[in-house]
Amino acid sequence: MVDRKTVVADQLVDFLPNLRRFAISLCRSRQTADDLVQAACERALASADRFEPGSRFDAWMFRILRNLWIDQLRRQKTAGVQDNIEDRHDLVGSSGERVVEARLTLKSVSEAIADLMDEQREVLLLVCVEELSYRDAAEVLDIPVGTVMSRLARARKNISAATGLESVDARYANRDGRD
Amino acid sequence: MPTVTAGIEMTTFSDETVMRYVDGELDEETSALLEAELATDADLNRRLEMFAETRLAAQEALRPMLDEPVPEQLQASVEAMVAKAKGSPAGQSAPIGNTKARLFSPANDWVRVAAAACIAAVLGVAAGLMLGGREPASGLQIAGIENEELATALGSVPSGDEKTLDSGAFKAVSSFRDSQQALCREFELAIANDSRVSSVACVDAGKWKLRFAVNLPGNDQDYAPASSSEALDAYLAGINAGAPLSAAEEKAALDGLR
Repeated sequence: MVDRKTVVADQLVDFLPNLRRFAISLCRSRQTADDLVQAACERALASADRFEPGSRFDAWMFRILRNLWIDQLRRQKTAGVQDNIEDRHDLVGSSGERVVEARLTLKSVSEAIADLMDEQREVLLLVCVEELSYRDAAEVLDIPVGTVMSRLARARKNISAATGLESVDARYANRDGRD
Repeated sequence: MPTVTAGIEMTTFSDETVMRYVDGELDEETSALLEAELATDADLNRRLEMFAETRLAAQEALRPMLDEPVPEQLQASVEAMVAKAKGSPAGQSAPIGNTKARLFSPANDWVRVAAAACIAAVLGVAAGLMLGGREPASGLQIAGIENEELATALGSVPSGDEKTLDSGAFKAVSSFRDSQQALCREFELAIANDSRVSSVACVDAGKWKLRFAVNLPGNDQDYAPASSSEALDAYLAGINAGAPLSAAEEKAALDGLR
């Protein structure tokens, strides 16, 4: 039987870019993300015996990383540390003017993704970008498949609205209305 | 939430059903019904397009993040823990030299001091050998390797291989980079009868310079006594030695020296 630790260890390094991308989208700071990735790798190797051979390694890793992140958020909350709003503004625009401007102009897709609520962004990333099945995503996020679907649908409608895909919709709708 | 205005034909498929179709999560039967309706239902088409476009757009928007190089420190640290996890037990030969993890946890200062004292005692001897009889310029300072044959071996022998030199049997152990990204090699030199020296040399301004040397007593083939290997480990931790380079990385690095 192949040693599970070896199975995990063999895949870990190649998976770093994906793991890092997921981490950055969770915590919105590259510095924090890198620490998180490192901690997740340590945790994965330490609990490699719990990895089911044949199951999806990526889903397993995402789950470990996300659980670590949730723990960290909890600890920050109990320690009274506020969510860092600066980071969020880094990705969108902080001044009042820019906010107004953002309402008038269409956002890029990455801005729109950054603007999503955390719970929508993570499910979007897992399903649309990392191409996990709804069921795998549900397991990573510890939520029912139905919740994956409702969040995912909302995430996509929001992106569509923010980036102007919806204006295409509206055009169609108008035409339909007149016809 | 999109609202369906009265007067526009309502489709029977919910947004979630359309999304599941796009994501390949809808059962065959419902998929067939949906496809049948696509031909006549503009609203269904629009919604389908929206879910398909957002999926693609999200993938494209986040793809550049995959191409971002993983920060070296993270990469090295994970490679080190992977190497450690797969750890080759003592005495077992690893594919490329010494794959033992060189974690760059901040070395305990006292360990480094103790190691340095031990190194100082030995460096003079080793440096004397490698400098081809010349006196090392200054005690613990980095000593240039003037021995041509040794410098050539350092620049060409792959880790894990051995080469017989005039000054003794040379064995390349591993290659790695220090915190300044200088290429370094750990190697052993067996001199005459009973003396083996374990050393680290790094490239500095295009020349190999001796950074560390410690005596390995005896001709014991497999195993360095704990005190010597500890001194070496402490030294490597002290210079923030990265994880050992793979065979390919090492070759590229050595080729790059020429």
